[in-house]
Amino acid sequence: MASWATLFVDALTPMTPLLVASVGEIINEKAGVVNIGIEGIMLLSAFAATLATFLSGSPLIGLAAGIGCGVAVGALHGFISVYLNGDQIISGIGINMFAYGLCVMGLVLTWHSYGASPSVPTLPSFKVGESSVSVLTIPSILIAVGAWYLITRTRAGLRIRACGEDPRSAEAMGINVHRVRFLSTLLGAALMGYAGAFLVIGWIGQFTKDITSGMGFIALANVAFSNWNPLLAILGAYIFGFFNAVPYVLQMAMGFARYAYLVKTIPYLATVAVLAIVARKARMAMPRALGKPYIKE
Amino acid sequence: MPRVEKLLPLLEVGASIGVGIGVAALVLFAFGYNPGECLAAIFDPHYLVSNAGFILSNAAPLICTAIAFAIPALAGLFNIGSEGQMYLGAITSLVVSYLTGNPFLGIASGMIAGAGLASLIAFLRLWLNINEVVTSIMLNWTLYFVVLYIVTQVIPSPQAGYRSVSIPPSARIGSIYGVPGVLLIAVGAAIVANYIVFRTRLGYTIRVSGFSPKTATYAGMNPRTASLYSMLLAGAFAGLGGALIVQGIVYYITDTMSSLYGVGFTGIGVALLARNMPIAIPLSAFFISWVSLGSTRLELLFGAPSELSQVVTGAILIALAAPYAFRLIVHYIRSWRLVKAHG
Repeated sequence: MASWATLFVDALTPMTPLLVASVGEIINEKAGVVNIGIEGIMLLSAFAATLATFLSGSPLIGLAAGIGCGVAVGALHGFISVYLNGDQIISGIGINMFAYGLCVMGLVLTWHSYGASPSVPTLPSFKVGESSVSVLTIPSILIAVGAWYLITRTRAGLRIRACGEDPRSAEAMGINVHRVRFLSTLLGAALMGYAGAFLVIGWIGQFTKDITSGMGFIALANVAFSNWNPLLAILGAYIFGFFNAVPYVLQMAMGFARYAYLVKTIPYLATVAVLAIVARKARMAMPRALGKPYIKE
Repeated sequence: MPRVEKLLPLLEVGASIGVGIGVAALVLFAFGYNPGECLAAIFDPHYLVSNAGFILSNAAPLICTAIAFAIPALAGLFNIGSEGQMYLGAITSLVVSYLTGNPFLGIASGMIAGAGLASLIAFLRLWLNINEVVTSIMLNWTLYFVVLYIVTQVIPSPQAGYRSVSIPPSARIGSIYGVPGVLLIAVGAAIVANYIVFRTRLGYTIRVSGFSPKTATYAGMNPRTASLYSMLLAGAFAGLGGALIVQGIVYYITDTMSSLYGVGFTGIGVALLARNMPIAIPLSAFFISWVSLGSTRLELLFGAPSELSQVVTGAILIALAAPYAFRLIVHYIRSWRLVKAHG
């Protein structure tokens, strides 16, 4: 029974990357840019963070490398989406595929392994009961609150929302829609990079090629669940994080060797189920110009 | 120049392939390989000829998953769940053809299973408004683990621990005069898909709904049912792809799912490279299959991981996402010509 109680604390670990990545996506989408390349950005950033930590010995440098990598991919996606009026979904699919190929190549060529990198040092964590929680979990909640403040309470946030709701009027009000959208994409991708780096230096301690295994898309699900509100995203990330932690705890507690594969489907099925339950209420705050390129006249 | 306008789609595709290969060369260079040597090995015509059968067989499932992306794309939906639909088609076809020994039942059951899964995604999208991209990926992962469970726990091979039972020879798809049967079926599927999309009432409704749901509604069509049917068709084609893999190429599934993994996702690249035109899909599937086999050769020759093919496909996709870039280039060519003409 003890393990079931720890589940509520263990959920905080998967909650962290889900929360930060979905807050990043909310900022993106509020400005009108969809980025379904979250998964690919997280994977690349996890790899960059592993490599940087491996070479420097410092997980903080790894975190910086992860964020930097996120910004770089965000710049590519932003350039295609904003300045080239590209198809944002296709660009995202391409980023995911490209990232997977590049990371596996990097893994094999750097460490001559097809599965996992060597272990790298992680940032410290503190004990809550029998579980440990990374120090990076606290800033993740501050990031969500900060993003909420930015979007709803500041001039910059008003500009971001204007670009996502009605870019033509925003332009008429003197806002540079392209620049706001591009910068929002960078900021969002930086947070996705943070989430990717967390997987390695705040959680697992090494890179594996399936380290993200759908987390980027669960973060995308959380955006709709939270109704584009970073504060609700904390709740959503906790719920989705909870279901992500279930397979680990079930396996630790009961050792379902025979059903190990089936237990792993729980987070994915739970994500669809949760979305189906809240479906009627969600999507009220979806930005109206979401995913549509803004073409200047 | 009207001639330039007509060539624009070809220019976009060609330029995207160029970008893909260029990025691959950069990546190879960055990892310390000789890009020229590697690309020459991938696109070696002798290697193409001597492995034509293998490349053509492996193009067949890609054709199917590409159609599974193209038809919903014409209706305005992103079916990135073809991967999971293909898994389900493969495992259903494996079980049914193992039990019955009948090739037709195997294919049919795979198609029905794929269509069933796709209709679930369509239902969640159309009636509950849940983003199809999210449900697709969640179901892909779910099916990935379900197939692994069935392969390792329900129907493991008594001879080898790492794979499922094999399907009996009576349910396998052979070749006719040296042409792989799976290829004939897949090309037939592309022709059927092209006929449905461009020659039937349903296909017309799908295309109008994708172009403008409002127009479709004013014209008395129902865009919702059009989307639903497009997903049903897509799931059936993806399921067919899975069935072709286990009945015509490998005959069993391993515990790493290496023969299935990625075929759905690569199909997205194949479809977009063919600009979602079913009739052009076999050609683009052939190209991608060639690149994939070439990357495997790279691994054997130089030890460069075969995931290079994903780098190429991903880069091609990213380039295809921005057709406007190529239009800008054409614009510059045009103005340059005008300047030249008027001296």
